[in-house]
Amino acid sequence: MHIKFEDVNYTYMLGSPFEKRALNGVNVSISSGSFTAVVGSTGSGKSTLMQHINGLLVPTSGQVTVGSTILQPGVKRKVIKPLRKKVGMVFQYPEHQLFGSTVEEDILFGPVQHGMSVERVKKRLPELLNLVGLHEDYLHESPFQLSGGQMRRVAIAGVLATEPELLILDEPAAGLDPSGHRALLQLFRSWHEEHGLTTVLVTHDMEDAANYADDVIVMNEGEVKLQGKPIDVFREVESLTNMNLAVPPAVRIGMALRRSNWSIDVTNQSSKQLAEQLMTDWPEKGGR
Amino acid sequence: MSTIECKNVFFKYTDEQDWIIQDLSITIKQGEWVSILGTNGSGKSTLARLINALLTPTSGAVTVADKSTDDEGEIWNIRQKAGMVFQNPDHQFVAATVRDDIAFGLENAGVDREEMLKRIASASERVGVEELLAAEPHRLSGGQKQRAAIAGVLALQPDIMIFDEATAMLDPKGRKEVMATMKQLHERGITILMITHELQEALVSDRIVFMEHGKIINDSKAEEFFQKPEFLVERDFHLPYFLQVQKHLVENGFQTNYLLDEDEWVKSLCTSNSKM
Repeated sequence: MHIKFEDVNYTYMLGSPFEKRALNGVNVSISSGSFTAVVGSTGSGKSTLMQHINGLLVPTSGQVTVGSTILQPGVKRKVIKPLRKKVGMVFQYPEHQLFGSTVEEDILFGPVQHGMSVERVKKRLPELLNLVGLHEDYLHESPFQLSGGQMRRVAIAGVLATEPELLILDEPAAGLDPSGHRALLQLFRSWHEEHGLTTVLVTHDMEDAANYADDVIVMNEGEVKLQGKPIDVFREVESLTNMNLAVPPAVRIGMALRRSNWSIDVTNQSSKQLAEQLMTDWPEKGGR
Repeated sequence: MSTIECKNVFFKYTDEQDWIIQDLSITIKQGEWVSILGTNGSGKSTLARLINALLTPTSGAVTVADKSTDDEGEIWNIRQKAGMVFQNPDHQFVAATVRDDIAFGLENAGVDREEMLKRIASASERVGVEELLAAEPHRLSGGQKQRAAIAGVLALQPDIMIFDEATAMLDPKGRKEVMATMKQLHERGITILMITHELQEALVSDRIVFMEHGKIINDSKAEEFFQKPEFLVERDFHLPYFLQVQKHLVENGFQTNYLLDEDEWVKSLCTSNSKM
């Protein structure tokens, strides 16, 4: 599903003393089938942007187009409702939203709400649970008996079970240990490829953006500051640093070495590739 | 001076369960900065809770400044000596303003008003939240919230501060703020016990304690620990990028040991490049 923001402004608590402009003239496109990372520091407007995509928030002015749905100020609920069926949202700490008495009940809640065939979804549950890295024996246990990481997987399985065309992920790996973090992002990346959907990953982790996304949108103070392929965006070291964003270490180190005449590629390359370039270019009287 | 001493500690919540902590012994001296590493479920957080008497051992003994956590009469004394900062910045506030929140802990500790005002002023200044005393906690950024929580603990004048993944939910800026605060507390002689998944953060500590299945399987100085990164790689830990590159260089004989500071390492490469 193609997503397009045109001159979108959004102000929280409009007309109150706490009025706060969160999106400021946003024009941006996310192409159908892409895996796009939206990065920005806390308060940059990235979460506000994301909540416009399934109509949780509606622009104060301007227009958001998602597939065939147009979201404008005053848009009717009946316009938003069909859109929500196509958009799967994984919020931060999704495990806080579990409530079912069994894992199965929890996962089925979304599909039931969307009017999907319960029998059909039930058949797929063991496979789905397996995919998120849980044994099917958990289906009949209480989700509250599980560890935090397992609970999160249950919540994610619940979103995937609704078979969304567009998946929005808000810091899905926050607080997980490093191997859990990687496993989860790889899961989303392969789900993205296998199901040919459009995925939007909201994160402040630049390495995740570099490793998993095709496109990066950088937000700061409610505006889109940069957009492009990860590597082109990451070369903007100075502006990223000013926006309190960390440049991926490969780019940061590559640039520092180049300044001292090492012939190093400034790309988001693997540690092995960088090491090989260093070894090839190693000075004769170097630190051997 | 508060030494932490765990002797042959075993712990589990229920009889049927496997041991969460098994036969663990460790001594931590006043002023050390210790990182506790391990995978999820290795017993790190349980160990932290045993140290500040939120939990007591099933068998064995935990003492802080020679006071046993098993001694009911000493529990409040121990918790005041060993303060704890938790992971979720939203879960540790009780009052409507930062000032009242810091005062809450002091009131519970029976500190009189005069003294309370002094302590709030000095604790908030030390972690740089003095401007935020009148603010409502939920309006602060994550880093500010964690620093406000640290001020609340600090006002109780602890010897030991335990950070249970206190940076895990913060953005890079918030992490930097909290790490800088920890460094400053360490310089003032407070013992820092830091439970973390982030190797980048563990690099700045003095000592690494690595836990697996409720046991300590590695306890060494940080600079020695990181000379053998294979230990971490085998356990599926993600090495910081600059250490990964060094690992390749070491394995191919281009470098003999690991430098644990990224800037220092890059600098050494830059000066060793003679083609200037």
